[in-house]
Amino acid sequence: MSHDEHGHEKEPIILTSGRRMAKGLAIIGITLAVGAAILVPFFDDMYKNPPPVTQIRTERPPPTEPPAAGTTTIAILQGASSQGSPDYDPDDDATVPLGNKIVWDNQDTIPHTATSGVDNNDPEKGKLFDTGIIIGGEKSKAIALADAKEGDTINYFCTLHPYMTSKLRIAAAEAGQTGGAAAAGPSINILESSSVQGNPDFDPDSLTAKKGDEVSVVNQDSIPHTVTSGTANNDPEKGKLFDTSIITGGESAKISLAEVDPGEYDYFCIVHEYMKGKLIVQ
Amino acid sequence: MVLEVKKPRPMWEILFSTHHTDIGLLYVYLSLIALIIGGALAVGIRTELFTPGPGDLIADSNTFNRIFTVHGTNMLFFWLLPFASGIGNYLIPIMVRYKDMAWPKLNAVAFWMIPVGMALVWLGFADTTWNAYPPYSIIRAPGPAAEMWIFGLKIAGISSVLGAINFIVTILRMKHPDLPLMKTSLFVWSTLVTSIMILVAIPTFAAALIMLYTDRLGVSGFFNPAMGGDPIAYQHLFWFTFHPEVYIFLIPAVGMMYELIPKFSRKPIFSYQSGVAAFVLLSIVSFASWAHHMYSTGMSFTEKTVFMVGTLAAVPASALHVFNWIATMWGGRIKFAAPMSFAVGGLVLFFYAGAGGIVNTAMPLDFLTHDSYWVVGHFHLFIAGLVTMAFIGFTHYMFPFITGRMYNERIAMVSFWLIFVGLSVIFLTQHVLGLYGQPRRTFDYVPVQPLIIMNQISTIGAYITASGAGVFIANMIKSTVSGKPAKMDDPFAIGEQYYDYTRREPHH
Repeated sequence: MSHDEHGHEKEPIILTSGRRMAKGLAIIGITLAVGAAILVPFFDDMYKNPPPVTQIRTERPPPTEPPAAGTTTIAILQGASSQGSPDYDPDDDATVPLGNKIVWDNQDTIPHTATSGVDNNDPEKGKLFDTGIIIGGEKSKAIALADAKEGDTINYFCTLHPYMTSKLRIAAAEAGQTGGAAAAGPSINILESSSVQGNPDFDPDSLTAKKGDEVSVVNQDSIPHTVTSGTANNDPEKGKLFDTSIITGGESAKISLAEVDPGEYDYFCIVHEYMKGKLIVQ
Repeated sequence: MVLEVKKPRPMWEILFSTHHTDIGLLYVYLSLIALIIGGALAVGIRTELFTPGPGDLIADSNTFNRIFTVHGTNMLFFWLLPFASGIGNYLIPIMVRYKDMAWPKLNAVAFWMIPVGMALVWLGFADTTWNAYPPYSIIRAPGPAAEMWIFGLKIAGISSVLGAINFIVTILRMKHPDLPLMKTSLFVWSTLVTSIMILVAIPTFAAALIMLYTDRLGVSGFFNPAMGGDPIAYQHLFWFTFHPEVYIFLIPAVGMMYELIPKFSRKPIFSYQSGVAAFVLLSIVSFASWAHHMYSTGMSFTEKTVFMVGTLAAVPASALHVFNWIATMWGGRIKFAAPMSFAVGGLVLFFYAGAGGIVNTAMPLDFLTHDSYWVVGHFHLFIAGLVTMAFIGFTHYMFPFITGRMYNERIAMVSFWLIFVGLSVIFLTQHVLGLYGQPRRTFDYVPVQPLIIMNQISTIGAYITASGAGVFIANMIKSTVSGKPAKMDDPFAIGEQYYDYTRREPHH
């Protein structure tokens, strides 16, 4: 055994044999084969589950707030300020039932207006209606068209971007769902989680309708409710004038006021007696 | 420093050893395996792109996305990083004249985390691309593949940090008292600088990975725009780690070239001090350039300018290295053995890569090259052209010291020419391909003549490189078993030695 300059034993050099190399390669080969045996059959399994966050989003789609009855919403689309881009939605084919109010929803990031008339030189501009400037992401006030008649077509445009032009047509009062409008006529919404005592329940709490109207009742809650005339379950007159009976969550019903004389009537929910409202028939 | 130190040991004794040469050997083996299987994926990608239209080899774009994701992740984290750690494990204790790494068991733990991370990445086969940008990676990328990718990288990151701590302590605290730091090899400096950069850079991405994971679970929304998060924030966190990481891949290769070039030029290094200065400079400016990956995310002009200048600051540091190598070779009696050939080939490709990098850095020009095949060509010239060439050259260089045998020089030169020509053909062509508008990460391309021709040239280059890699591996295996026993004092017959790697255990 030789020694180096420090007096240590010099390490003998032992060379690898073919057998030993084969053993090493076998270890590598077997490991890779085991990996491949897992990888290949399960290749698709490793790649099939969407992440949970996606599931959360598909199970609970964001609740869309239904527009209040008697209101037509017209969107101002994102990017509307670029000339040539789609601007108002619905555009030229918008129909507004007679008597409905109109709300412009500015979904763009840039301020816009909806002003009656064809352009800024129009002497009549803004005579019929003018929303004023609607800041990006906000909604205009509800605009009532006082002098409009059925079948009228009204041009309007954006005073800030005059190339954004559109028109709307006044349809029959009962036309209902056309043009992105909500149900026409008076309606009562039963608000979400109104089953909890103390929460807001009926919207509007006091509704004014005409004799002969049909009032639609929309249950926006997930729990069954009713709209029943009377003050409580022990009221002998309960349900005599009108009663929707049970409306399950998400469903709607109608109340006919054909037989109801003008006057003030209390109503309540037979399932949750503390939910009370008032109906004024003219 | 040979594989079987005293007497032939059973294989498991090497596998579960804590000795630095054994762990170094395991690192080198593991990384070479990663190189081969990752390279096989690259050949698959190029074969698919040989003709436009789907289905040359890979049936659908999802599988294609999964393949290039695993190719990228694997090559960066299981080829480049472990190889540098492996050579560091081999040489650092010897170069600082200590008996082993400072914490041998920690060293073994750091190594054995890598196969675990590698298994997770490979078995999951995620499709997020190696940078896993949200929102895709958090709201769409299918699981469990993406989760496995996240945890695989997490484990690899912890392994890097443990390894880096070990290197820093070994170099700074275990160094022989008679050996000043400024007398150590430049490879020691490169490992020291790299390790410090790992400690500074990795925690940011480690945090981003956890945020990515909780975002995927839906319990947080850091990067989820639907929950008020900001996807761009992830890109900042990601590139704060991974732009320095680019230099973490690069600097060990530079350190290795500082070993090879003086030795095979039979001249001392032209300027040791400028080498050290360039390492330190590069490590600092590497942290001032991350957002140059994000010019197109809508940053302000001022931000873009700051990062453009920060990026350009890396140019003098890199040029210092290149001039140092050229000046070392100048007038030397150069022996173009395989290690030197790979080093010089790497130097040439480094020059091309750097020239392309200047174009990317210039923010107006970056908008032309961004997300095109130009970028693919550019960064591959770095990590395949320079880093991989230097690593393969260094594998040849270490071969006699590890096995006690000599590789076949003639076959090694064949593999050098195949790899060098192949890499040039693939990646220089890809630069032009990008200028013709081919986007990166594409499964298909417009069937027009220039794109078809250039894709086919690029694919043929990939086959040439793959055959070169095959020749290299075959040479290594054959020579380990039946190569001529090496003359251990001077296996490359250079005649003059500037470093003595054979001295062991100086403390007594």
